[in-house]
Amino acid sequence: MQDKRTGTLMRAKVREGRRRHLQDTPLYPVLLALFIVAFWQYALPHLGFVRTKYLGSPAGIVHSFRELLSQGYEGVPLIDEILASVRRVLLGFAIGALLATPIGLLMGYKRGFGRAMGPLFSFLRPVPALAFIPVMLIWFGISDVGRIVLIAMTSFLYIVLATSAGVAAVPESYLRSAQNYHLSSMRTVLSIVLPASLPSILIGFRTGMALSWAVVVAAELIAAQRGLGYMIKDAATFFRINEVYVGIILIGIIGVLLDWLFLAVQRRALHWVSK
Amino acid sequence: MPRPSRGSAARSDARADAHGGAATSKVVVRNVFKQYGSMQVLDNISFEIPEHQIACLVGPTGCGKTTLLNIIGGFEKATSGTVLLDGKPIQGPCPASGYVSQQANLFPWLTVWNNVRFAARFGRGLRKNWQSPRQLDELAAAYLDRVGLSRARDQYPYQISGGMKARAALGRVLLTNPSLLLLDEPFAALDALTRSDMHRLMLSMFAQDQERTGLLITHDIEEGLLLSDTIYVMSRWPARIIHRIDVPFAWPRDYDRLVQAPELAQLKHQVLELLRPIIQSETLIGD
Repeated sequence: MQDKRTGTLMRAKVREGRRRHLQDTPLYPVLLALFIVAFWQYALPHLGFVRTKYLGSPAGIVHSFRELLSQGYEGVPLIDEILASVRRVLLGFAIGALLATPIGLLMGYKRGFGRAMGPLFSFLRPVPALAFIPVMLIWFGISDVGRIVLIAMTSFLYIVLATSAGVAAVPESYLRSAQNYHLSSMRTVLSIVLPASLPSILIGFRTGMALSWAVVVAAELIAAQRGLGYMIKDAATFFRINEVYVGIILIGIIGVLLDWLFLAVQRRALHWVSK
Repeated sequence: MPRPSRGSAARSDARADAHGGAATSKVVVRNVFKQYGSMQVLDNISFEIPEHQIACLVGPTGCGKTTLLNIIGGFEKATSGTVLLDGKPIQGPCPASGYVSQQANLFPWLTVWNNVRFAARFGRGLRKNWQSPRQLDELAAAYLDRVGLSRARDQYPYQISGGMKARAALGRVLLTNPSLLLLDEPFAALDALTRSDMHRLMLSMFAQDQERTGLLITHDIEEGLLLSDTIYVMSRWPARIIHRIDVPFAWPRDYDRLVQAPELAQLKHQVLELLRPIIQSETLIGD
């Protein structure tokens, strides 16, 4: 009797699990993507919003992508354009993150330091990175340094914000055990404050990475000879609209992949969050 | 001849009262007042916790019990009055005090094993309890076994029950070899069955004299009677100690015998009767 009932319950749970399973598969997003592609290819050109010549089409994008793969862009292999952008982003982001994490921890942990630095960063944060591009050009010329500094600055500002907010939200009771057992400041920060604010720091990393990616493309629109942003701008100058789309799609895909990387880290290292 | 000797005896008695009292008492709280702004949180509190005894505070929510415990723990300062630990004024939080609260306060990113070892491993001045990391591990394993968590050693706090968390929190504190336990409603979040299980565990621990000095805050009168030697009943307006009940049960205590003892029921009723007018007057004021 008991077994029968648990059996029924189990089956109900399995059914429930299956239903949820369908929502978790990529089925719905894939269907939506297919719909958009079909709409663009077959319906959009007949609606007359944009001249068909400038509209581009999914078929044309696939064709351009193949061409770019085999011949590269203006003689430069596509992978080199991609790597040029990715390299700038990763370098700039790494510098920003390496500076921002300890400074953010310190700002959250030592209130005076936080009060001193906070307003400066709050002032810089809303200024669009694009506004600094001319400054970077004047300071560093058309070298990569300016772009990397810009990316580092952008990721820095957001990671600092997330980190110091995370530290400020560390439960009082955690710090109380540090007080109780006379832990050194170093030990408190490394063994309590850092792990406790890690979820927040990782959100800062993800935001910082997404914005870095946005900034690199913007930075490449001006005075770069390599990179996806450069490719988009250059192709647009010659109305090679499908190549512009290839650039846009690649930027989107790489952005998603980088975010997945952080999500994977988050899932492994922060398995304990919100449980 | 007899007079001076009587006189010196009287004088030495007085000295024993003034200093000797502090020497035999682990904690002395004398005329303690605490104010937050214009609010009187503690109003002339005096009591002592003798060595190898558990004092228990009961009273309505917000009557300052936790503030008093925080003052003894060194986390807060009294506005005026004397608080002595081992005869010396309390300067701040002290690793010799083991603090356990309702929220087990385990670090969610550490396994049970690492949580239990945390304080003993990193606490300044607690290294005297172990000579090598290996010895710390052996001690930790022994304490884990004592609180019945050997099998949950590699679990994370989110994977274990409330009762197991309470056990882990207790194990963590015991491993630091505290000379004073500060228990702030340690089992209030547990269901009745798990709580009685914890009472059993506490009684087996308290069977050893050296592990039985502390202050317990609780709303559970039976818990207070089971685990403590003296119960202080506090009122809220004003926040004072208004009754003292000496618990007549000798150590070591047997859980099964005690929970069936008629005296326990009588004492519980007595304390509840003492608390009733306080609670009633509060509901009137509260309304």
